[in-house]
Amino acid sequence: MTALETSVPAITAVRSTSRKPRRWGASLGWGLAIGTVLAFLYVPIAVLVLFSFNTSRSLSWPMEGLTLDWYRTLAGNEQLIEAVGNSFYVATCSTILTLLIGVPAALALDRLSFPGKSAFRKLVLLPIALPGIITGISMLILFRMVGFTLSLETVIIGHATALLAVVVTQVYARLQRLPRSYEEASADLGANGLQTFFLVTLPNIRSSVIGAGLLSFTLSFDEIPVTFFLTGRDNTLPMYIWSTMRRGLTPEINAVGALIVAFSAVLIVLSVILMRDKPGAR
Amino acid sequence: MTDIVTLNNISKHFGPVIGVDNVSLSVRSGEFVTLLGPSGCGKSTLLRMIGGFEEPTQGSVVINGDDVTHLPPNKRPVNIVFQDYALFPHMSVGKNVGYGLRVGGVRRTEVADRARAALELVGLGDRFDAKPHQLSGGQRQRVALARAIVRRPKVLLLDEPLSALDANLREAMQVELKRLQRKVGLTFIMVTHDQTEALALSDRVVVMCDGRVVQDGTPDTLYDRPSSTYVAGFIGTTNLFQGQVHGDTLHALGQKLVVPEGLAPEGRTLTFGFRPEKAEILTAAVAGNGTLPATVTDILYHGNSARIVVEVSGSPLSIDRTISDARHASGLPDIGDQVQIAIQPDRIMVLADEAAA
Ligand SMILES: Nc1ncnc2c1ncn2[C@@H]1O[C@H](COP(=O)(O)OP(=O)(O)OP(=O)(O)O)[C@@H](O)[C@H]1O
Ligand SMILES: [Mg+2]
Repeated sequence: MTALETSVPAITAVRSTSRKPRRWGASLGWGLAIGTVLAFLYVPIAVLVLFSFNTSRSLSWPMEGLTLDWYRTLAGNEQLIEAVGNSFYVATCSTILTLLIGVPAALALDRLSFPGKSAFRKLVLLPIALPGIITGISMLILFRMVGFTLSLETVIIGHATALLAVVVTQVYARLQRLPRSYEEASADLGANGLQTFFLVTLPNIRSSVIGAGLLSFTLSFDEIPVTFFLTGRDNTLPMYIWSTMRRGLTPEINAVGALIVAFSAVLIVLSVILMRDKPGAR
Repeated sequence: MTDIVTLNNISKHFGPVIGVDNVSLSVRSGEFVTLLGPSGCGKSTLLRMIGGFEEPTQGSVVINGDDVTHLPPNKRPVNIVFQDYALFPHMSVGKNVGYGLRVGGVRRTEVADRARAALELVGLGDRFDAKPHQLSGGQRQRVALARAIVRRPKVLLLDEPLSALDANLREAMQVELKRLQRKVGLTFIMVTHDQTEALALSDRVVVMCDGRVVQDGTPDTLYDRPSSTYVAGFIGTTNLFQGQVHGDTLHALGQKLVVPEGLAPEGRTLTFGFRPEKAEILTAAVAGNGTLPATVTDILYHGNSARIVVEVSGSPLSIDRTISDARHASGLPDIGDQVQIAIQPDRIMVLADEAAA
């Protein structure tokens, strides 16, 4: 990051000083702006990761020494490990569920024309603008009425509902750019609907499905409001962190945070690799 | 029964828009038929109804003796080459070509063999593993052809297959398309808005206008005996003028022309025409029976021929003259020259539509 901050103005400066000295100030300004934005985004995360290795409990600079003790206590914290497991369970199931509903919904929106289609589209996309609290409360009321007992499964249903809009928007946008003639050619060559979907359509919208899935997973993984209303006795990781935080900020929390950062980094790398559009794909 | 495709009074309406209006057409087995017409006249819609991508609002489609009007594309023994080729970008060329066999349940080894054979037929045997985006436009076009013929359909449909190619490549592909059709003996139904392409390739040309068929005939019939000014104007260049026939004399352009007796009903004002290459330019001195005095106004030199524009009684006429001389452009008149025009009497066409009153 520091390399980026210094080299950007340096390079432009070399190129521009000879002819337009006034540009120098502009480049410096841009460099500062970029540096500020990056610092704003990443300094807190760096602090979090750094302090997870601090020997002292206090969050004061300079750090007293380096230790892995907090990670060791983490490994022994059963409640926390269970919460992590729950979070993975919820995020995985709600992602799968929302993809199973969202991809066909996007297909229907794009490929079929039926009365009330535009209203249907707006209704599907609306929850994206709805606060989690509203989704949480309304689903809670519904589940009470139907007589469901609250559990991780009700959380999954809640998350899947909230995330549907994300999946439908992304997949629909990709489908709109997919030439209709691919599917027509497939049908022309004798393929039935399922063969066309799995052999032609899906491979071509693959990157958007993976992208929507990863985004759903991340959103579900750190979701609090909907989970808060819909969970039973089980806790997900963000809920657990939030509840222990009431007893004060501990280096243990920093360690969990650092692990989540590492995990997210893996997800990001994975998504970049998987979503790389093949050359020639439109 | 030798008719492979029969369309019975089919129409297609898109809401208030009429795409195809009551068209009937039969195509014989092995024929190369072209649907020709300007943009928006319903050519693609007609082709797509044969392929099964649009359901007719009215009428029926019969292929190989079976009524397929309501069958989806995958249940019809026809294949189509799309204008944008629609090659699957995520599959290699070989996989693209083999796709129709693969989904049809053909054994894996046989799929590869037949796909390779089809690619060899279009001269691309060595590009089996390439991806479509690595190919040139002409090569993609050939892959699309190979993919469409690999299942040995009864009829091959082509929607403006050459329009995405540049002029030189298009001519080369025309030759290949014709060669391929002869080789595999398939029935081709092709859509185009390019009249030279239609004349060059087809056994039969169907000229369309506003969703209807206006004339259906062999290229030379269309060229020599267009039924209307619309067809005459769409195919090649035609000199049109109005006149009246009295016996073997055509009164037109303020002059008298010699025509075969009974060319047109006596005394009716009709539209007549002749093609630019069916007339000769003579020197002013040789005025004879039925020649027209004219003034040269423009000369367009085309290399092996020249188009000479002359004026007869105020009307411009185009006359083509081939240049076979070694010394180019010799023997052409100069602009402003007074000349005589001799039109071959049996090459004067009568166009069915009455002259506007
Ligand atoms: N899906 C559709 N919805 C509404 N109108 C349509 C549709 N498809 C075609 N049309 C209309 O039907 C008419 C014929 O269209 P068609 O595509 O068959 O023309 P075309 O002869 O193939 O023209 P081009 O040479 O431009 O491809 C046009 O007026 C077009 O606007
Ligand atoms: Mg068209």
